[in-house]
Amino acid sequence: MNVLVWTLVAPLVTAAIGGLPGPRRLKEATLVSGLAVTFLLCITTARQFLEARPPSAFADALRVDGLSALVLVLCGFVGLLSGTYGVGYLRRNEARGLVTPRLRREFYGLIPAYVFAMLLVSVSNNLGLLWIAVELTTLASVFLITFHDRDTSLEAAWKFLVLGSLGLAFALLGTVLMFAAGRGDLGEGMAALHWTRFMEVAPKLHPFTLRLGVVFALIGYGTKAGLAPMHTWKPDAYREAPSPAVVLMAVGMLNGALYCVLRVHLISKAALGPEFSSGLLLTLGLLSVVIATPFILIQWNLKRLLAYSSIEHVGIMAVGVGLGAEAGAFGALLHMTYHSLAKPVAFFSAGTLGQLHRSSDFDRIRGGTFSRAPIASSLFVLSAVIITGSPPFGLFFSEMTILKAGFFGSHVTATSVFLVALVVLFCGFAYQVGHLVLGSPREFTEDAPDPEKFDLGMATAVVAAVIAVVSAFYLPGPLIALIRAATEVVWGSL
Amino acid sequence: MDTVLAFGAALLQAGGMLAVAPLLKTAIKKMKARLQNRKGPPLLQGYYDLLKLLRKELVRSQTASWIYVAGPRVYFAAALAATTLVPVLYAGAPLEAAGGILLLVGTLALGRFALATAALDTGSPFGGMGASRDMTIAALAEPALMLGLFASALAAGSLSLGVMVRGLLQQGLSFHPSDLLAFAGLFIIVIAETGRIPVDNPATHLELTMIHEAMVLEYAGPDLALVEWASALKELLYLTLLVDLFLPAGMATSVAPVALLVALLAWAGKIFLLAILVTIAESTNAKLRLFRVPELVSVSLGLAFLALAIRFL
Amino acid sequence: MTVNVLILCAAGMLVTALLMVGQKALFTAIRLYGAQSLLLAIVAATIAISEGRHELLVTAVLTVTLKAILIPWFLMRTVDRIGIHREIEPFLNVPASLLICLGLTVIGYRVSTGFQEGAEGVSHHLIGVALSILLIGLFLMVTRRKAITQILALLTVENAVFLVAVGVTSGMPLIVELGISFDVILAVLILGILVHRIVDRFESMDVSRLSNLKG
Repeated sequence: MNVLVWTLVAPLVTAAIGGLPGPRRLKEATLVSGLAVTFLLCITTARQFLEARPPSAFADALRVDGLSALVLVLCGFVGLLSGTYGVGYLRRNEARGLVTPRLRREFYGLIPAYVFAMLLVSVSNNLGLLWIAVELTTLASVFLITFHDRDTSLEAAWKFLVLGSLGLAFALLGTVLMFAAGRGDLGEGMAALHWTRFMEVAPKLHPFTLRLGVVFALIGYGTKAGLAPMHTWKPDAYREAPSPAVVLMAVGMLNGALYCVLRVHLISKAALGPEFSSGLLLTLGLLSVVIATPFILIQWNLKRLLAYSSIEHVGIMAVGVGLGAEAGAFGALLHMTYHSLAKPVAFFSAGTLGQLHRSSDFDRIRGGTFSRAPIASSLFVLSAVIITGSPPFGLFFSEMTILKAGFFGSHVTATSVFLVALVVLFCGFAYQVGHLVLGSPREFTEDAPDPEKFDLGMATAVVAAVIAVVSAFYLPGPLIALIRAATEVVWGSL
Repeated sequence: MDTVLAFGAALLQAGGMLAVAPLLKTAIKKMKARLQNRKGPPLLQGYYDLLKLLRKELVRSQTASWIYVAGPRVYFAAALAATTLVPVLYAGAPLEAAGGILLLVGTLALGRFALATAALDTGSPFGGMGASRDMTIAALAEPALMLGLFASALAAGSLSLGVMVRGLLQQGLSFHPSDLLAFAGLFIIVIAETGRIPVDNPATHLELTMIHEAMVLEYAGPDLALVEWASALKELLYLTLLVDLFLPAGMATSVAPVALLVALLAWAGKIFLLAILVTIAESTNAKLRLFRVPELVSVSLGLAFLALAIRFL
Repeated sequence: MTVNVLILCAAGMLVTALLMVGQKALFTAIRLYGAQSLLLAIVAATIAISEGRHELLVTAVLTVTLKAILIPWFLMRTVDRIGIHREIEPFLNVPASLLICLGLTVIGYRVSTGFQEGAEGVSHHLIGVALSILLIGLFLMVTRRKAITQILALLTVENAVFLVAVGVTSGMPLIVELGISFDVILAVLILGILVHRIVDRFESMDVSRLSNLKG
């Protein structure tokens, strides 16, 4: 059977098994092995694409081109990491007696389901199917957000679902309008909604309707990506959901939503010329980076801090694409890759710190965590250095590429604002991390944090850190080829 | 010659409407009762009530002036006059040369003004309270009524009801969203102006809940008969107005007896349907608190305004 | 004939949306939504019959079953279980809300003149009504406090999108429509579960109390 179909079936089966009652060890093994198999299948699919045999299925409703392959591989990678860390995370919670069998079933069922939905997003060629897949990711993650069942969890889940559904309603309207713009020329049946078909008939699409559709679709999918000003659900959702799920949201879904944004952008570029949607993306991206900055400075919670960092990063990627130069697009995709490789470390280490202290709020954790939890703290500092874009790590290079594209292009003012925001963000992050990790150890009068243990969760974090550091100096050849292929899709498809 | 004919037709129309009005009121009462699983009054009860009131002794307040006496008479006269401005069976109003929508609304407003002033004249607290409440509702309802009527007027290009009806008959059956919006808005106004639930309870005499009844509390005997008859007439008038503007099919375009008969049957049927609608609206809603009534009427105002705006867009 | 039915139903949908704005009782608001969905299904069915697109009939039946019957029943049952029946004072009072919704309707109609179907004809009214309902739904979402009303506002927005789909494109491919309906149902179910949990936890459906997470 088609390797693409297998890639999607694997996580689905894992989810089904995980959702059934069963012994804990078996479930843990199933989750990790299932997600490992998924990752391998993703790599196989991408390899097939690189060998000039692009897989497709269901009469081209699912299709793998350069962009899809890159996102597929990254999502598979982060899925595996999240699954492994998730097992360790859940074990720690089980030790404290916080996990009921129902919660366990939910966790082991929903995480692979989420991975399935993300993978479906990245290979959908049909715009309708794309929308359905994004909605599936939203629905899969709601109960992950309510996992800890606190007051704030309900609030976060409500905001997430309501804002997410609203965004998706916009995206649906955008899709419908885009479909309407090409009424006569697109043909009939399922194939009429295929992205490839849209690209074929792009010049014949009705401009007004398409413009309106693109605006709605960008706002809608931008909500899912977390672009400002539609980002308000992100900090709450990231704080409340368990860290393994947050990693999936912060990396996997971010890539997925950005993928949707890019597909819409490409249609708009082909039909209306590059300025319209590039301008929109540039504005949204810049807004995201600028808005994230003050919130990082006044932040009170560790995971929310990382959420704003995630908003910053998606803003950087949007700016990269919105600058309208090939270097910008390359920089954005490079950024996506490095972000996917480095962000998990941040969430793993932050998640561990949060679990040890039983809360991720700063006033619980603050003050000399280095003495209490040396490995987690050092990993966190390392990840903070990487994700704020310090040399010699990869994110520095991608940001430099984008900045260069901006300054040498026509958007000098925008790029300057962008640069200032990045610098302020770096300082703010450094301040927060320093406050947290350094300093004399705090005395805990009651509810002392657990001692650090080198368990599966920690091991995963270390492995992820090693990958993040190594990737700064060496990226495997096929991965570079994938990035190049993706750039070609995003830039050169005219 | 024409004026004589017109006046003759006006008299006929006014007399006919006057005769039918109590029947409508009782019919609605009976339908409401049926919905509540009661039998309700006999259909001719309206006439019996009027006869009873006419034969009763005339009791007048000693402290009131001529305004108190004039109130019911002006109210009755206004309602009667208004019926001559509205097309009923024939696609034209008998006295349509005298004026159109504005004159109609103005006449009805005159009647209301007379009744309210008379209520104030008696010096009783109920009268003052009823008058103020009624005027509050009127302040919102009348603009809404006018906007709703203007929406139809705009489509027809004239303020005269006769021209509007003839235009609609020529056009045949074709709708515009503005029609439905105007109908919804005007229907709410009809409920408000005729003092039905959810705006006002026509059967209550509790101080807290009455609006129209409070105004006429001081009247007895023939005075009260005039007021009751005029209210019933107004109700029939409003429903006929709705029929004219939105469902004019079947109206006679010539004075042939056959055409008029058909028109009579059509009119009766449509009024009956609207009466059912009013009954349903009354039976499925609870009476609103007084402070909530402006909200309902503002909904109607909004709908009427939209009906007008959409014609342009 | 078709044109009249379409225009009447579209106008009816707009009227129900405006009445929802002026509505305080939750049950009536849910019933209004049900009526709106029914009118939407009639629009779909009419277009299906007149243009011979039979997949659209399936969509129409689906709309009636799901949105006009199932979802209102589910929501009413949720409200019953919770026992809270009236909307408390929304952020904006009724006359002001109505004024704003009037403005939004005018905007919706203006925007609809830019479409390729031209500034006249049935499509103009269908798109105009759809965009107006979209904006009114958005407005409701922002200004209402009760969780159930927010769900209703979301569903109204979905109805508007569906109306655009049916009115402008004569429907999207059937499988896509099925998938979308399925997703909407799931979303409503999950929202319902969340509402239950919120009421259990906070003893009220007032989502403006869900404001602990800031910054």
